[in-house]
Amino acid sequence: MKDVSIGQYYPANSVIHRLDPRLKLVLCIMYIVMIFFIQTFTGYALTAVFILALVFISRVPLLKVLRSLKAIIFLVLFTVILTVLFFRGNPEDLLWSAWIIRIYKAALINAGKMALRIILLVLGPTVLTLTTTPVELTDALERLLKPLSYIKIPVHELAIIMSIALRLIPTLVEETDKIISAQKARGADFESGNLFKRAKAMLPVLIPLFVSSFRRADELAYAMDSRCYRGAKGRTRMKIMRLTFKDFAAFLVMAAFFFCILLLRYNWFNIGFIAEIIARGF
Amino acid sequence: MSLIEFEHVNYSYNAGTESETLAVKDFSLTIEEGEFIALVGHNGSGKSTVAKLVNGLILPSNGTVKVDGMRTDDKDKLFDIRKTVGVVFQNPDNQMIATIIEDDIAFGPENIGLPPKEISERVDWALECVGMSGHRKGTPFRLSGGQKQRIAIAGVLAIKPRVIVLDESTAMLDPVGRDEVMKVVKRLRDEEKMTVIMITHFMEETLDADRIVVMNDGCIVLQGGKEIFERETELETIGLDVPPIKRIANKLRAKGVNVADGVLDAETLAGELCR
Repeated sequence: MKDVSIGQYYPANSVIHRLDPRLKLVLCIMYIVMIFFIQTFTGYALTAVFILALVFISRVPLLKVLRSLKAIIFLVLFTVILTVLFFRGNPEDLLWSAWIIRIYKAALINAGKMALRIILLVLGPTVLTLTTTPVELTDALERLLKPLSYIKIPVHELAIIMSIALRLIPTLVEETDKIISAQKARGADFESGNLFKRAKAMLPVLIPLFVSSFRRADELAYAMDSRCYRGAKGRTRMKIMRLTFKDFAAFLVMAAFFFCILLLRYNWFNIGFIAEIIARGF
Repeated sequence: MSLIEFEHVNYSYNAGTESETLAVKDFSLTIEEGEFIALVGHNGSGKSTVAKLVNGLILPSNGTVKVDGMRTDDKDKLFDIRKTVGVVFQNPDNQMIATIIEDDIAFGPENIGLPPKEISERVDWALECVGMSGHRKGTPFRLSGGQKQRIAIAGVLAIKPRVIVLDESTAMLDPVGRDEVMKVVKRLRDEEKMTVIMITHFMEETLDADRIVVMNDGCIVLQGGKEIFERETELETIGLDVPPIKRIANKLRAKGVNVADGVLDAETLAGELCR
């Protein structure tokens, strides 16, 4: 639990880990946008190969990546079931019907695409967070959004709030454990009773936690003031983020792949026949 | 001109309400460059308020506080004052800003606006000062209390202040951690020639100070070198103990054993007794 602040980061020494976090963030957004351009199974298959290749290069165990899908299993199932049940297509397409349930062939295809889309959508950011620490991400976000500060959006403040929140999570988790133990020692019962009763039992934990959080915030503010903090004004950073050759290379790879997907989708230069060949191959 | 000057400072919490309490009363103190001052007092004596007054975290209700000639109520000077005086607080967990040690220590120098290379050098230097060089890339969560507090000290040192104030920085630590922090403090005084203000309620920690200032109820009641330990009864009435060895020496003398004045450590006392 103490490691919440490093998120699901998986330390390894790979090219992907070493890429500029700003670039990784941009690439991840490109990837997500790209997913919405895909309409064929060929496209999804290509993307799956692409993301699996990324996982392989990043040296993160595949199992760790797939574990992140556990959280969305229900979402995927729910989407699939609803699509299959409520899709109304051509009567000729009807595969099976009983009572008010009608299942069409197109519904199955649609549901399959939808499921693939959700899964691939989640895999992109998963690779990002497995190879980038939350601190790097907040830093990257602050630097990427810096232009917004010229239109009075408090980018630096938001970034520092995020990094302090990340920093405080383990401390608060520890504190919660302590308070729970202290209340148990006084005879508090957290384990029995129905859901409502148990929720109510958490009250004597939450109140001290809130009080101490405010005190902590106060002290942290004093400590920050004492260390010459005055917002973004005149502040420099120790770590310089510099784009290197490998960042450009990574960008080119992503852009090229995006282009391929667009080619498939819009059949530019009448290149659609390639897709057909690939599709037949499957 | 002294480095730090308190002139007739009053400070009250919750001013203007029913629960108004005067924490510091008519407090005057001057501290010279390079001095090691120990400020002692029991809980609620107002000593931590003094720490917050030094670098303008709070402003006096009456009177003035000056750091290197700059008044703390001058808003334009506050930044320079905080570059001059660094404060380390009691709870190391509440002073960490970042999840990685080097980022945390870099926070101060980053705020001053130093170039990246110099910040990195200062991080190295500060970590070395507190004897934690190997932990640069680590996280503070797995460290012991003493180590965390040394990181907090390094975070203040990286700003290169002339004065370091330790506001009960050892109070939450175990004896080992306390020892670690005290060693660092002594080193800063001896090797970096820093001015140190050590705020504490452990009398043992005042032994290395050039001057001991005893506070009670917001006022200075005693001030001086180690000779103040002779006034054991006076200290006891305001809730402070003299250091344990001194207490033994005083008790022995009361029983008629010939022990010289100014015995403060175990070896000297043993030497005295074996004479």
